[in-house]
Amino acid sequence: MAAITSRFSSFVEGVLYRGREGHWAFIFHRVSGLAILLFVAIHVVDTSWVAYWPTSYEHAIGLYGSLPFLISEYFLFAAIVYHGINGLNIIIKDTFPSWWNKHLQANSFWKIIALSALCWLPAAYFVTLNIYNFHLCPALGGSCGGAEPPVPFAGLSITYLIVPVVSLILAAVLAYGGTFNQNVVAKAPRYVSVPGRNLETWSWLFMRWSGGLLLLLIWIHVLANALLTGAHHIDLAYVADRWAQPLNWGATFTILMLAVLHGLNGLRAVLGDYLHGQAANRAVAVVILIAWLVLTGLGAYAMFAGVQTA
Amino acid sequence: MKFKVKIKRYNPETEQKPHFETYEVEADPGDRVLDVLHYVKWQQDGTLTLRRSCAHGICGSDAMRINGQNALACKVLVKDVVKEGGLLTVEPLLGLPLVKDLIVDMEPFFEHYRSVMPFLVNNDALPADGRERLQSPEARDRFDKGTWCILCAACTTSCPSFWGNDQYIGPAAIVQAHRFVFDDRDQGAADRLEVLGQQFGVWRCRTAFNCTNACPREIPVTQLIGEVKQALATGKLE
Repeated sequence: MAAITSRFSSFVEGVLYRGREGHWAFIFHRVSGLAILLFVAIHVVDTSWVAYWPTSYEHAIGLYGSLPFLISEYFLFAAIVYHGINGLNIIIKDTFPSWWNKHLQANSFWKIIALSALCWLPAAYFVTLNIYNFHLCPALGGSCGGAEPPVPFAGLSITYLIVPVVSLILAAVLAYGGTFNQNVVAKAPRYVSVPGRNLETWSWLFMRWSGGLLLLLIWIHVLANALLTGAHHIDLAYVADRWAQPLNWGATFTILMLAVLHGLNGLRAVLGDYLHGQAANRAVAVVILIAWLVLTGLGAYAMFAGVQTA
Repeated sequence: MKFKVKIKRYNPETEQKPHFETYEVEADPGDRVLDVLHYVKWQQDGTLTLRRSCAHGICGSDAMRINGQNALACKVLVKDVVKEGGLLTVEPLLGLPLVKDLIVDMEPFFEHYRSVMPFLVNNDALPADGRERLQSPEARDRFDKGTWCILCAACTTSCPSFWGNDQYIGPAAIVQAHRFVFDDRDQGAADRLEVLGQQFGVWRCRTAFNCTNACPREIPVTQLIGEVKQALATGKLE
């Protein structure tokens, strides 16, 4: 008599497990996270070309304005809003564990979906506008208004002041969060000597801190560049102008540093859930470390070197 | 009422892989799924193998997947999972080695349970009267929910992280650890947190929430796991 174990069938049957809102939220979070990581990797590489191959950059940004890419932007922005809002939900509930209850979880999933849809609609509007102005309207032979470049956020870089302020508040809440878990009356807190923080502990803390910061930074980044400006108005001069403003440069650099690591560490977690054996996990860790060094190195060097003229 | 029940069957002596078998059954809407399985075993097919002991939701022997979701067969009523003429699906727990029909090997589950030292650790001398270590009702209440656990494994085998890798310690073991870590008479918290802080410890929890939904004892499993994470991150036990 032999008991059988099939990892493949547990994976397949696991996907079919009739979990509820929490399970769906978890699956969406993984899928959206991996999709965003793929885009971030491409985006870092092609943007770094402003410093290495300026002509190729102009070609790449042209692709961003193409119809297939604009259509996939609908999905990209859906992934970004969902991953951000659901991530914030995880951060808050991890900070106040008593909020991880059945009632709130079922409720908050639908609120997250509704809120994501609400945030996605303006993004979808801008994408649709771009599709109309640059693809639909010229194809129909109309006179299209989209050719005039809008003022690319001139003088609005003060908005970035919101970021450090809100981040500080969020950081304070997270740092102080552990002491809020007073769901029972306790006279004096007891302390326990905990093991030193290992890679997994740091990774968990980092995902929450960087996630909170990225939520703000990326949304502003996407709003300012992808939506209000749009790929059709982005060229070498635009990037040079943005990077000339210290706040913009700093915000973009912070995103580069945090987003690549957040995404790759997420990938490490996803793969780690399905990989068995130390050797495989170590190999993945090494590959991910190299990918992180290459991507951030490429991006950081480009941001320090600055935009070259074509 | 009459309906069909589809049961995943596996005979290790004759089969390589499990298969489904469907039975026509008749049951009262107020019957439990366990009664339906008894009906099949006693009236139709005596080879059906399942585990159950008390049959009243206390011993935790008959956790299984009912319509794709983990539950105790003795706590789910027929009327809540199947309609007249409908189809009820019963499968063994996921992520543990399958022994036969609805029986899985629980040893990996109990191995994780033992790893968190599920017993009171206190090396102080006994109180003067030599009887018990007194505890305030508030302090007792702090870990009350964890004591509801009956070790049925419905939570651990509903967890995507555990399906992916059975080295993950799993929700049930974390709940058991919570029960002692937050007990103010206990002195073994540091040792337990050492185990829980490892690669396959508490950080593998992705808050997918299946465990809380699956628990037949209404334990807020994800919350307790969250409290252990906070304890590990801050070193503070409220």
